[in-house]
Amino acid sequence: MKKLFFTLVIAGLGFIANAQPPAGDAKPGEWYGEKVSTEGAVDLNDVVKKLNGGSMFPEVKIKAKITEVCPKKGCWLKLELEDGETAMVKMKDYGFFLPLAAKGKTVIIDGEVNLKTTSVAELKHYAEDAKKTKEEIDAIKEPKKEVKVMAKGIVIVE
Amino acid sequence: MKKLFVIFLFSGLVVFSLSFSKKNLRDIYSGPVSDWPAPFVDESVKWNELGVLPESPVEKQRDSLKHVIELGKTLFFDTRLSGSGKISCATCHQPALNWADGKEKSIGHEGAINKRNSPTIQNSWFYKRLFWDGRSSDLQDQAFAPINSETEMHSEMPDVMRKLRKVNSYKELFKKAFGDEQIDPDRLTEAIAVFEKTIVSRKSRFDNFLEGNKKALTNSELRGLHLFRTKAKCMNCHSGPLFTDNQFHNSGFSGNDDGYYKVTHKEEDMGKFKTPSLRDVMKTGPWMHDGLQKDMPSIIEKFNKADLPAGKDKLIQPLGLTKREKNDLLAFLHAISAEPLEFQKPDLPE
Repeated sequence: MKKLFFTLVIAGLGFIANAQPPAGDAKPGEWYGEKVSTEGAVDLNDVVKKLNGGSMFPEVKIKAKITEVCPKKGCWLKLELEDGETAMVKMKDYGFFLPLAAKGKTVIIDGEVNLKTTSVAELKHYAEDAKKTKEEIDAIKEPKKEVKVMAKGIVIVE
Repeated sequence: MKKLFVIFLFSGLVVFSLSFSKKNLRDIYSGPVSDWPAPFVDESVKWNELGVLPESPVEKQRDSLKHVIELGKTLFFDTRLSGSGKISCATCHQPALNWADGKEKSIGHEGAINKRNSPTIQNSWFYKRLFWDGRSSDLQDQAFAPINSETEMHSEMPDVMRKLRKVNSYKELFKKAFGDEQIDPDRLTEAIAVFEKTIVSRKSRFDNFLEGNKKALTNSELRGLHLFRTKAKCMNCHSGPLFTDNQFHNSGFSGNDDGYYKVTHKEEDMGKFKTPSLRDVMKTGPWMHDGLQKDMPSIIEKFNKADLPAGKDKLIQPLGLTKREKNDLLAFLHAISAEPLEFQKPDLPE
């Protein structure tokens, strides 16, 4: 009952939590953040091969396929890598978001690529967001070496 | 002799009419708003009359929301929300500086210079969209961004959650606010948003005048008020009791920043930014989205000449203001600016 009261108070003010990714079809040509030209993009896998511990490419234009979009706000993406792993994308300044429809699309991203270690807590949080089961979340015990991308702009190409 | 008499009569008339018009302006604006002269606004403009500082809608629920507000206030001042543990929301929104930071651009993580000027959070409950470029649709959504931005607080929500969950008094604060001890990003941002909605301006001398104190404004400020509404065409954008139309305009100051265009992807929105409230404007400089305007008289002069880069809004036109008129306008901007309300900073959980 008390909880209902809280919910009503908050809902009555229109503050109910409704974080969600933006609407949109993510059709080829649609863009997010900075407007990116498609010229000069290189395959993400080729960039990753040149990365070794701690190195980074501060300005690079990569082409890759999106395998996952943050279901809560559209504020992060995962990109397919040929070794079966994924690369984690975040948006510069937390400044823009992608619609869920971007999943499965090939994109060109203008930004920074580097190799980073992701903490267990962070990995668990992403798992929670992705609505993984408790067992799957509990199974996360090791930090993960991960290719990270900080995107300034993203354009859908196919 | 006759000529002298005519001159005498004429100058007497001039003196009489001048003093009459002065008295008149005070009388007119002391009277009901419905009797005020119509403002000079372009036909396309939807405007609202100026008025007394409105109350935040949260004010009426202050009692039922007091624990949410208390939690939000605590979080707003807590540097645990940043990656370095050195930055809180209040670093760039300082109560003593009318909840802005007085800097051209705010300094974020490890000295990183942010992209835009930190706006005041006073009266932010009113805005339909947040950020200079309108990329957030509400205060709760907005609150996510500085925490997660690598140049601002440089944190990650999971890290913030981990830090807060270790603090017993936060469990208590979340429980009081939301009914149980769960600490999550939605609750955190919601509490901050509700707290922010309680932050408003102090009533200015302009409000005192509207509420019946006929002497609250000087002659110059009154002329400024009249000019603001008429010849200077300020109400084309800065209308209503909060002096903003809640819209986006390219006022010619955009520089290389695409502004609202990046949100809407519409060509017509290139270089547009949210119309800021002019409440407390003389306390919240430097001005504009990039903080590059440091001097209000020169801003007034730029609008006066409308000598601004291409792409500016059609609502900005040459005004032909005299030196005295520009001074009067400036005086009026002072009359709508007040010291911030007293504010008691929260005790932060150990």
